[in-house]
Amino acid sequence: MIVIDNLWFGYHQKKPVLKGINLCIGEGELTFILGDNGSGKTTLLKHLNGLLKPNEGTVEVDGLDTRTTPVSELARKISIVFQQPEKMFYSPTVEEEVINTLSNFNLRISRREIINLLKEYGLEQYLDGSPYNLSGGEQRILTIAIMNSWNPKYLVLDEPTVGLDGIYREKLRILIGNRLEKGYTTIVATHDIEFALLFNAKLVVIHDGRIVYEGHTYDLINNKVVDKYGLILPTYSKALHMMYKKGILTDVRDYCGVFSEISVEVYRRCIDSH
Amino acid sequence: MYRLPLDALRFEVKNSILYKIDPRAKLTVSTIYALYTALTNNIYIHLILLGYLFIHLTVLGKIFRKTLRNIVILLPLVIIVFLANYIVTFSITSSLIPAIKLVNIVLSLNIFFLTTSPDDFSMTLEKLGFPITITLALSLSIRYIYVLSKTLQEIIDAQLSRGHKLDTGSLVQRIKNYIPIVVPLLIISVRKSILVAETLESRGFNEKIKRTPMITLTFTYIDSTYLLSSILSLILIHWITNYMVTFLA
Repeated sequence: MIVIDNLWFGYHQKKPVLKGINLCIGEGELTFILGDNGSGKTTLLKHLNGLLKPNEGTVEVDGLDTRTTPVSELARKISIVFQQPEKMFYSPTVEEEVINTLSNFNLRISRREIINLLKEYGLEQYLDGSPYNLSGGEQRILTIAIMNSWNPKYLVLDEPTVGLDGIYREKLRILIGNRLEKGYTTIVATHDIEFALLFNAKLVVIHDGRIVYEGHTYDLINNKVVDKYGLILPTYSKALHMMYKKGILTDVRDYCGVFSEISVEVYRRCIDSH
Repeated sequence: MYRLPLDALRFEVKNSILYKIDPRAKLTVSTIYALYTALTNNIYIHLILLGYLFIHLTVLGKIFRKTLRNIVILLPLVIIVFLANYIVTFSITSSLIPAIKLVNIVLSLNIFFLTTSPDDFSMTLEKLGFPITITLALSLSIRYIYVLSKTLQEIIDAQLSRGHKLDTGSLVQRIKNYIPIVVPLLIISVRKSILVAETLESRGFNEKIKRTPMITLTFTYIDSTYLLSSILSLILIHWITNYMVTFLA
């Protein structure tokens, strides 16, 4: 369990970026952290494995205080994938990139296992190629594949859908779904409301360094929190929202599943959750 | 926690006299002060000059913290210079002179470099007759110190997040530990420079065509006053200190 208690942090003492964050993320949960640009999402994520230390308050991961626990110890438990994937690569081939990451945790992996891992994400043809020769989207999905390769208890994804085409988005959706089924915790910080709406997940909205809303991803469709904090709904959801306002539709479940394939998924999961 | 002092590398414009002065005037003052400091061997002049330069930067530039930070960064080198001289001369005064000289030269150069933006720096060099390719390369390099430091911080964060340990093992192993930091930084730097070159070309950059600047440097009476008063202050410091030393002797 991750417990964030009254977290205050600023890169400059006078300008705090995070202003008293209180958050609890349970085991096996999927949490979406949404917020406008500069709201403090990435800064919050960097506190989870101790890359940044709080100015005030505490962050605890399974009872381990991030101020006193080394990052290398926390990294095995909590795997963070940052926005720019190319900053992680240094090995000449994709295969060595996987091996080098796992060797940091004294874990071994065979070539066959690496091929199987890459096959899951459709990247097996790049096994002996340089990770720098991959496209931006492929690099991102490769980073996610590598950082999830040892099934860390907590996987944290920072803007994972940027630059991903439909196929890779679907693979990412499956990956998150699989982790949920296995009981692993996943935290996703994103602007992509359409992607968040695919999941029956916990929702946290950050604005100006404060948590302004905590609820469920489906709350995004009919809650004012979206317009208020610079988050923009997908077009189909806007249309549904207007119909909801005019009384044509009365329940969120009525208007899910009307327009697109994504809304069908939302509808199905909505029914499951209620 | 591996945190780089990113703020120290970023150029910030402050509302002070030094930031508004023509860079050519500042460059002249900086050069004269640095040359004078390098050529003088009088301990009293160096001590007074140290105080004067500090006040100059603090009052006219409002950069007390930056100046102090620079001195703190320089301190280990100053101590080494002092100790090395002391071992040879066994004289505190003779050892103090090169140590304070070093601080004074850096502070003199700070008058120009801490208060001049990369754009102004490039314009100053252009006015002095340097070719555009050199001035552009220099201003871009200064600008990219901050950008690349930020990239370096992000690379360190990414490598630590994947369980990489930086400060473990023998000295050789510790140096090897930095390979995952250096390799991405080099690749990203080269890629960034190619991108900048492509952007410049797509924006019609051509070294053979004479450019018409949107902002031109103008030397006003304020700049002349600053230049003259700074030189006069130095002459006064030199004259009064020498007079006092002779008088006391």
